[in-house]
Amino acid sequence: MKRAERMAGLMLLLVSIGPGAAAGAQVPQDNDHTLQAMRDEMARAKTRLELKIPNIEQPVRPYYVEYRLLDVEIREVVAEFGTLFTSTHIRNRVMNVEARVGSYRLDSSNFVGEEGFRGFIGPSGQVGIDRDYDSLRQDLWIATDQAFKQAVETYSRKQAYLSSLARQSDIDDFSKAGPVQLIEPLETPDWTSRNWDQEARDTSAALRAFSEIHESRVTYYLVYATEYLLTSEGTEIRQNRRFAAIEAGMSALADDGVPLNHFYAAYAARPTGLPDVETVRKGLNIAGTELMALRAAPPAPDYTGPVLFEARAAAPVLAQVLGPAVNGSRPPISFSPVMEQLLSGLGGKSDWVTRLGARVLPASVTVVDDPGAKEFSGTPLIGGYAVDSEGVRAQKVTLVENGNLKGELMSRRPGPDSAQSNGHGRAAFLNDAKPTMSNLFFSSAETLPPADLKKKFLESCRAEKLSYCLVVREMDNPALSLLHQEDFSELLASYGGGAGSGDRLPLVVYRVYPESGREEMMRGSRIIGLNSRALRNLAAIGNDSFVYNYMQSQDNGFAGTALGAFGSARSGLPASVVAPSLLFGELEVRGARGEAKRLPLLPPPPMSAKK
Amino acid sequence: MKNFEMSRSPLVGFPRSNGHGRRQLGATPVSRQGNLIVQSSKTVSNAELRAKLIELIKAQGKPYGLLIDDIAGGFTFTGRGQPQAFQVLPLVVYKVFPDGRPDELVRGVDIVGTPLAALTKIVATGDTTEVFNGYCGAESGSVPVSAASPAILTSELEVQKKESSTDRPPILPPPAHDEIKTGGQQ
Repeated sequence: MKRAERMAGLMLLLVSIGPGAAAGAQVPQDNDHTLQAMRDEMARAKTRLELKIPNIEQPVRPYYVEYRLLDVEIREVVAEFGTLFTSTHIRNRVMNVEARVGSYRLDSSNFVGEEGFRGFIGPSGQVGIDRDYDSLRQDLWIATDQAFKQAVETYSRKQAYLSSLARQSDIDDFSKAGPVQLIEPLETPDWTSRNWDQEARDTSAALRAFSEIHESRVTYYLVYATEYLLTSEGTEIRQNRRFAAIEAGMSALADDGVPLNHFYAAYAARPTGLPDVETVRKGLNIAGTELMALRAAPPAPDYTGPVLFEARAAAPVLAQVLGPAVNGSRPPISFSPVMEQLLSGLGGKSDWVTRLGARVLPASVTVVDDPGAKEFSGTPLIGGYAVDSEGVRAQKVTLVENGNLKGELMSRRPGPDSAQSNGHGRAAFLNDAKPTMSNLFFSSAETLPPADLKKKFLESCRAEKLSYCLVVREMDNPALSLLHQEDFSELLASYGGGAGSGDRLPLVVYRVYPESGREEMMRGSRIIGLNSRALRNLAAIGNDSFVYNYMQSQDNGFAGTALGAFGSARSGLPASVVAPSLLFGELEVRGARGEAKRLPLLPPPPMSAKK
Repeated sequence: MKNFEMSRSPLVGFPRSNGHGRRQLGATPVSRQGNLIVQSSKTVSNAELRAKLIELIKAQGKPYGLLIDDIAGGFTFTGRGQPQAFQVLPLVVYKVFPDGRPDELVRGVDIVGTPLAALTKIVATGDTTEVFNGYCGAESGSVPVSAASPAILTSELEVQKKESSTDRPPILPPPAHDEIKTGGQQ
């Protein structure tokens, strides 16, 4: 009898690994046993993983199991004033196993229990880098076991919590998605085409010309990654990802002791696409010059009136405002209301969800997110991908058409307006996949050339009888401009809570006097109330579309909020926003930010501009 | 008691450092161990030491004694706010029986006690010195240390049960030892 049962189990097994084995046949010949190990352990998990719970007749089994593995190779070079700070080259493989208990309708996910997120305790971790079979299978065995047991526990906690609620959500926990097979050949990273150490020395030396810069860091960050995904639904993915970044931050003190920062960033789809030494030096030189000008600029006074965002500044503002707005998935059910408050404080709750068809932007505006786009008028975009982190093929989504909300970005977590993923569940480092922008295009049927836009801006300034009005030339990204984590945390403590209601941090702001046309830089201001509602009543839109390439943060509490646009290569998910200059009829700007510090007692030591 | 390991923080009666102010990068130095060598003027062979252990077990009327072969680490509270107690986490421990039965490997015990009381119960030491090299953690971080000592027989030591876990063992057997073969490296 026992033998017969075992035979039956074996038959089942053969059937279930059938399609997997067929997909395996397409794998190009290489030494990579990752998917094979996943396939074999998945076969056991699907057929034999079950937990008998006392007093419950049916054993509990996972209805969905997912293996994600990220193989990253990172070359990082950091330099300051012409000298190397660090130069490292690392390779890592990290894995995450997810098991879901329950059903697509209601399962163990989307729940923040009393103990908070328990993301990285059991089922995640580092695995061997040799792409070998046995050690990975051993790791998968233990991780699957832990993920499953954790899911069983979370599911029962969630059910207990839900039974205490008067009304339960009618939105499913997980959407169905067809299996996708995509197995790309392994990519061999190209590190050697340029001497990155020397480039970092040469470019960072450009800041030697500014002796009042206290600290600076120029970071070259080059990444090649292979992403693996295997699910119990039959999805099998091995795809290559790569990006390259040059990021620089610099700090100084104004004469009154207020800290000032600036940054420079350039991104490319692969290392060879990064700008050359001369271009980066030029960019750093501009940032350094502007930082010196900020030192000399007067502190900003409070202001209410028209504000013109030049395209360079408009695109990052849209990234911050639209990032949370276009997210159509429901937020997790939270055990404590504190989590919900925190999330909406940071701008993590979409103002647009449940308003499909309603006008959310000026009637001339169309917004599209297109992961398939490669460039815009010859400028490369970095946000593209073929299949998202949940194994769903990327789709182009029209979010807003003629000002009306048409769609939302969806992961496999359904929301009030849509139950299906449109391939926007993205995650940088095996985090929870969240609906995230890729290449976002903000365009308008009615536009003005920059000169006319400026004219209109000055006219409205005169009409308001203001002696000057504000032009924003560049927005701050504190994740890049601040060099120390403590400074960043301090800024978030004072600023983070306002991000949800529309606080924005401009970096380069000019006063323009409408009578004389004179421009005067000012420092340290904060814009208030620039949220999705403010965008609805834009006064005018330029025709000077600008490509803003940036990194979205995946840090806990950042992802999916307005702060998600404050990313760096280290934690980031590449994205692009294409947008023109924007004129706001009225915005509120508060002056002076930053606590004054004591100036250094001694002047800077002598440093020649040339090294 | 002759002296202390001293850093540049003086004690009453010990005004000078003797070069033991050590630290891990970034920490403030405090006085720390370097190479600690324990010597005994009264030694016996390890076989005699075992015979003495069995004598002690019989004399105290205990069912068995313990032979500690290897430890994973340990710690001592040195502050005045807590009791000055130590805990040693043994890895390999045998029960030694007085009636000649073979030694039995056991798990799940930790040694606890107070340093002075525990050390005064030493009744004999072996004649072979062995060296431990490792890292020691304290207020000034983790620093490399060595300790050399012969085997030690104490007449009395307290052990307690280790913290235990109620986690279920894995549901499935390890992939390489599963009766039902699934896949395998091709």
